[in-house]
Amino acid sequence: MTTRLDLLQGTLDLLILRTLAGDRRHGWSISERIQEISNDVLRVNQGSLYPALHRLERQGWIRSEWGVSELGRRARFYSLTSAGRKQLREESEQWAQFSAAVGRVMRLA
Amino acid sequence: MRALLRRNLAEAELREELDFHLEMQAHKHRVAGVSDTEARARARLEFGNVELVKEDARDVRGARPIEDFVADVRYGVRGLARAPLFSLSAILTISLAVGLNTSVFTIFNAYVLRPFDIRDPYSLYSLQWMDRSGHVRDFAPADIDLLRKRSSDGNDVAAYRTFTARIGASQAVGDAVGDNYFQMTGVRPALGRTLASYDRDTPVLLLSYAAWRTRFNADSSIVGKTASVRGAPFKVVGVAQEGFAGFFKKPRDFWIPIGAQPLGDSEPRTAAAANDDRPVSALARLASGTSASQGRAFFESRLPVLTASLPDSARSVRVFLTSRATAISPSMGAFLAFAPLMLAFGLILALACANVANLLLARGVARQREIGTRLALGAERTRLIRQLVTEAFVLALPSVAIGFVLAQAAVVVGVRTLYATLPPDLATFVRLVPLEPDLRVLGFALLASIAAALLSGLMPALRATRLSLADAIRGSFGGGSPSRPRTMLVVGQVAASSLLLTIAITLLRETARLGRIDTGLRTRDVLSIEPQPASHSTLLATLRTSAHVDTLAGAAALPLDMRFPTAVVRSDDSERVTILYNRVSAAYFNVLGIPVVAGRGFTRREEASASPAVIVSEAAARRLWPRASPLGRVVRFETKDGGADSIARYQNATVIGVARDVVVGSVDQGTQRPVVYLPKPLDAGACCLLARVRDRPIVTKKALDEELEKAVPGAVERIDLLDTFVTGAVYPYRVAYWVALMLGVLALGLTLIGVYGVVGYMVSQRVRELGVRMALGARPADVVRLMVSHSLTHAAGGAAAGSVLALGVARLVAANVQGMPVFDAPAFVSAFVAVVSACFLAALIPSRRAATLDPMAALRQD
Repeated sequence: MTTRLDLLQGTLDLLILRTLAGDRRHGWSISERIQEISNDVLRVNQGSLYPALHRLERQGWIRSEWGVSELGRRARFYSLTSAGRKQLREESEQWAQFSAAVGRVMRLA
Repeated sequence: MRALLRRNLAEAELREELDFHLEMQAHKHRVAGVSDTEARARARLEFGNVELVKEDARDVRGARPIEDFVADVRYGVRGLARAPLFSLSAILTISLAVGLNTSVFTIFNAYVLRPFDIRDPYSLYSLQWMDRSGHVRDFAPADIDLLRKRSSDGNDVAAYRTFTARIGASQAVGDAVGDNYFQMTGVRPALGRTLASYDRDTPVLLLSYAAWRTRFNADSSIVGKTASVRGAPFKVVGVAQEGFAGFFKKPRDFWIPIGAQPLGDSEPRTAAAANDDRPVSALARLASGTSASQGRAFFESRLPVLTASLPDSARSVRVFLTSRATAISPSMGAFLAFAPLMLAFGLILALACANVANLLLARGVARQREIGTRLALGAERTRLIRQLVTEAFVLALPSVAIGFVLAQAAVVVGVRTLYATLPPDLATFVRLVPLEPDLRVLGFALLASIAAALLSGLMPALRATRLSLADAIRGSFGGGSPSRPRTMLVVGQVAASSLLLTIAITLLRETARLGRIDTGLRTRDVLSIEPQPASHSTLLATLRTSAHVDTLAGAAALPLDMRFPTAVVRSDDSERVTILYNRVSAAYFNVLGIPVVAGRGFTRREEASASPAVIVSEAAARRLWPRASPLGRVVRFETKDGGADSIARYQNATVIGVARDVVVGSVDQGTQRPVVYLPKPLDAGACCLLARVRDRPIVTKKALDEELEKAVPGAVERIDLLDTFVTGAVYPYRVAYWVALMLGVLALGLTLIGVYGVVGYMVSQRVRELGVRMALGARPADVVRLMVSHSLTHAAGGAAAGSVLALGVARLVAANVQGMPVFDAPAFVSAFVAVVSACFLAALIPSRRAATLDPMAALRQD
């Protein structure tokens, strides 16, 4: 069994935005996707997922609409807005700088 | 409503979204081969607390406070409905206090805040100017015309001159106005028309709505009829719009063109015919968008031209504009004048809040189990406080409506009482602006209720939620001393009510003292008559032959009513002294019953020739000749240069008599002011006649008035019984006393309820302890004494604090009202005793309950 990491404070928003960059998804599929891509290392705490989604929607970075899921049930789908795309670009860049910097310190300090 | 619907929809969507998540998770487990129930359970387990997630999501959505508020209100209403007696008493207490305060605000609003119902009221100003020697002056009639000619840029000025006149049988106040007055102000007629520029000097009359209702019984065919103003016939052309009675504190009854103002001659002459150039006041309308300071600058640039021809000291240096949008211009002074009343009534509101806070505290104690449980279940303290405060709001909001209605009733009753208790002769001089409520008044009631809710709700809420969790769970709520804040509240209440009662009793004693003051004047059967100057001699002839009149005297100034003129005099034994003087006929002392205690009165010859002989009052004698008899001594009047009414001939006047000290001016100024009397012939036309009548003064006054009106129409400006001035001077003190007494009694009542509640509560808190005491042999009397002595200490402390406050207030009042005592010991003592003994009784009743305890039952309790 691989170790599972709790998400770093503030990274959940970035991951959600990134997951939604491709296609619209509902809440469960967002958490599944994050888990899958990270090889089960990153686990999304459901208790923080939905508040985060609602918060992002309020900030205008994602929008939601009701649609039909793969199993034929009504589900709420989220997708990126253009403001969200811009936000994703900025945050990705910051993340890249941040992780590179941390990596350098870990190697050289 | 829509917000609520949206809330429900969002709630349903949230539930559906989370359900869907659980379903998907369970599906995933099922696909992996787990049984259905197991899959569902596992999904739920992984998800964690669904309700918590929902809460968090709701918080994010931002609707939380509103939802909580709605829930709190519902919860509050339900809780209060379960305790109807508590809710009712709390609501009534706050309503009463809010109502009283709103009634005061209604009056304040009517005078200071409510603009007149005319076009652009905020551009109307009174216009005055100050000359180089610092005198604030009005205008010559010609100045107004010149100002108007030069005011091309939209600013306008209108002249008016206020005067009193008898219309029909009673006194009225009116303005003689310039011909552009109504066109400039934009006052509308309710009937007929207002005055117009073409009226010029025709005798036409516009009535105020109130005068039309009270003096002419709202006669709908009034227009075209004739009314007599100072004996001259005036045609009524209209009635002014409802609620309008001039732009001033004192409402006006009528308006006439300034050119038609009757001067009161025996042959009626109008102002225009007489080339009248007496000064006029000015009302200005600034062009729209012009500020007061711009307006002032405008008139300051125009006035020097007008006054250029005057002597240097009389030239204009400054202009004053006073807003005429409201009856009293809302200045600092206006607020200060109302401040004592507002503070006194505000104190009642504070007391009522203290009582409600007390009730809430008691309820908080009763609810500590509920609150403790909720805290233990993880409710946030702020959340609970918010809920408790919301409950206070639920209590306070009905008070807006009840208080508003109560306030209007109080105003109506107050005005009725005022007119009912005023001496009838005075009632014709008292005028009030319309006191109808408006939105501002409603807003005030709302604000007062909200303030009351916060004041009474916050402290109990903070208190009730300050629980130790451990104690709460153990079911022990005795932690801290919940009775302390309640005791503090009651001590505050006792202080406030003893403050108000002390003031009330001081005023009562002052009123009684003034009522007892011997004016030294015979006022019971003496009438004062002020004739129109020009009709003086004809009127005198009628009075001399009247069967009603016993003795007749004349005076330049009326005792009890007018300010006597002052002069600077000197004797051989004294410094220069500023002294009051009056010119009187020989019979003056006889008619008013003033004994001449030394020397003699004026002779006919002295009266007729106004010879340089004077009579001094005892106080004047003491002042001018501290060590010797004044008889035969010389008084030197320092004369100012010129003047028709010169006292130059008295430069060296011989004292021929000493008169007993009497009240001069208003009753509250006492009898000790020095006066010098100079002789004056009865038929010299200045001011007033005094007539002692044969019998039944009130009936005779009316009869004589009719007789004179028939003989010389319009000649009598005023006719009054001298007694009226005495009662009139005492009346304001009586009103102040009644208001203070009402507030004091109300405050004491609220306080006693508070004392009763607190002692009752303390008894119930200490039942176990008292039981032990009684089981160990304490007698019932000991227990009662224990409980009562405790509250007596608090009551005495509070009352003492109240006395100290009252002392401060009395100092302030004494500094502003002549004759008020700074420290009226009997008033302070009796208020103190009254408050403490009332508190004693209020504490005794619940304490006696403690004495009837069955010790065994008390010990077994809980």
